[in-house]
Amino acid sequence: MKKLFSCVLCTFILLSVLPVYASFENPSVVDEAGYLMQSELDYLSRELDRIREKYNFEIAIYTESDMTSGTAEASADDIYDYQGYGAGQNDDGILLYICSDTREYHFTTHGKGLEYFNKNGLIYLESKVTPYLEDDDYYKAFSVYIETADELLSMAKDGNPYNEKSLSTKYVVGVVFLCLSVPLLVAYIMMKKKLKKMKTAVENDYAANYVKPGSMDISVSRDLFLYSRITKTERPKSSSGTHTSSSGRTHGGRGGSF
Amino acid sequence: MDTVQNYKCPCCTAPLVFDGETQTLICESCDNTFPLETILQMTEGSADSDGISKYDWESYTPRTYEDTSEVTLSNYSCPSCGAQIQGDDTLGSTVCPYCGNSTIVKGQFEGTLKPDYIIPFKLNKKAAMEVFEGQLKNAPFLPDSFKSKKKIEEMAGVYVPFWTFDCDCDAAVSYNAEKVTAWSDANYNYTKTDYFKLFRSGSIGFANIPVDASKKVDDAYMEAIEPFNYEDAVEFRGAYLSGYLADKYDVSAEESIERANERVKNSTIEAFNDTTNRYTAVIPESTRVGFSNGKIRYSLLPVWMLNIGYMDKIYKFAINGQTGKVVGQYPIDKSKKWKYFGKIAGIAYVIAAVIGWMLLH
Repeated sequence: MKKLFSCVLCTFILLSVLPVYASFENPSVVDEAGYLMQSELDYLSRELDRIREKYNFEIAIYTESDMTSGTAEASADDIYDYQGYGAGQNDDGILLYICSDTREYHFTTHGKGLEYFNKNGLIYLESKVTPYLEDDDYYKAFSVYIETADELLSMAKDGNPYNEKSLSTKYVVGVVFLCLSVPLLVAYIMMKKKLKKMKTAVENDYAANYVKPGSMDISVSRDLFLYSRITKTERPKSSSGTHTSSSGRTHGGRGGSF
Repeated sequence: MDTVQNYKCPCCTAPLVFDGETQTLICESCDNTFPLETILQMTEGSADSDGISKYDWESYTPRTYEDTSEVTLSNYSCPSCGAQIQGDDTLGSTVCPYCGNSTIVKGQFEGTLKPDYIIPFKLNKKAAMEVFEGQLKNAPFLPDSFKSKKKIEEMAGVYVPFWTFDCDCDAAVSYNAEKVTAWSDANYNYTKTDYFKLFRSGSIGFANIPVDASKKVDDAYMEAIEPFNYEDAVEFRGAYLSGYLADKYDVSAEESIERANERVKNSTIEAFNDTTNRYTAVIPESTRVGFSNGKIRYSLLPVWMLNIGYMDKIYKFAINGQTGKVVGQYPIDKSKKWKYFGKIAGIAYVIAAVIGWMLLH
């Protein structure tokens, strides 16, 4: 009887646990770029699995040396969609993608991830992670990613997803200065324009009124191309506005290079 | 012995070297290559526009009055500003139309040079005053009391002497021009700047450019009341002066040429510039302007001179006696001016506050 009870209990426990694991089909960390030592990988995987189960929300890291698709954004989206990342019916989650060859990263979000890791949340997350990526301290970067994601998910679960705009002091001072000075400048220019109507006796340095009609004849009009210069500047990091991936699903995200 | 021509790179001015393999000129400093034909055309065009500007005006031959029997003329002189004005003998005016001095002295007509033509007044005094009153609404900071408290110190119809200039103009202008195109891919924004050398040469004609020939009249006023329509110009006859004043020129044709040259040159360059508007930026490099068939004529053009007293100050206005264009300097109501400034600033602050809030939240 005791054996039967134990078997039933074990079966019940297994059945109650299995659905949780069934919703996460992939390992939480895939390090094809080889950034991590095995012990580091094991630790990060355990931490990610803990958070996944805590929030029933996909949170993953994926690194590779050759880009899967044309861009970091497309690669992150394709890996998320075609390798079956995501939790629950809507495949909720976030994945940090890194390509070691091009030194590009991209956070892709899907389902509830679009809300929990909104534009300002991703800027905050990015500001925490990228300093370590730039120093090639990947273990620390991933640890901070996990901690910050945990922090943001905790806020989201409380019903208040992080949505504070990250503004530098320089930016705030600049906006305030422009808001105070531009109206004065506009008013001054408009007033000067009106004042011109108060003094209409002004010299006319041109004689366009006295051109004989039809007298202009351009006999030589030569345009010689000499040379070209092309400059390229890195695009600002992509915003977290949603887009559609190659699978047709809606993703959010943010990325750049380091 | 042939001389060797050195060509400089249009990009960095380093010497260009001919490359036999590609048949192009190469800059070893900035690595640009240029087709030989391009550099030859550029040098040829530059030589054309680098030439010296020539202004060829024929000298003016003055004509004297032969017969003034149509009207009896008198000389009026102002001891204050020195104006020497002619008018018909019966003219009742005793106030100088230029400075407003009321001690104008009537004297014997001493003769003067006969104008080549005259544009008769089209607006009489009443019509000119109506035009002036109508223009007051276009002066935004005019004191409200100006309309009621202004005092017309003097209003006189004056035939102002002008030198008019006709010429055909040949010009060659070279420009440095840039055309900018921009595009982006997933990671970068690209800006391509194409550099060009432009050459324009051709001709343009001007007729009847007026230059004020009286020292007493402010040149700014006379240039501001332009244009005059010369289709109404007629051969001078003394009868046109009846009821009006006529100033004598005291600036010679030779002295006025410099101003005519300046205006012709500016307008020629402006007209040529209009042919380069498909470029993002165009900077004139060199300009050569030459005049031919330059003719100078002496004409009298109709202007109502109006001196208005308001709050112990005289405000001068001029009205084109042909077209009714009014120019001058109006009194300014400072409270109106600053109220307008405050109103615009207030609206702009509301807009700035909304934009600022959106940028910070």
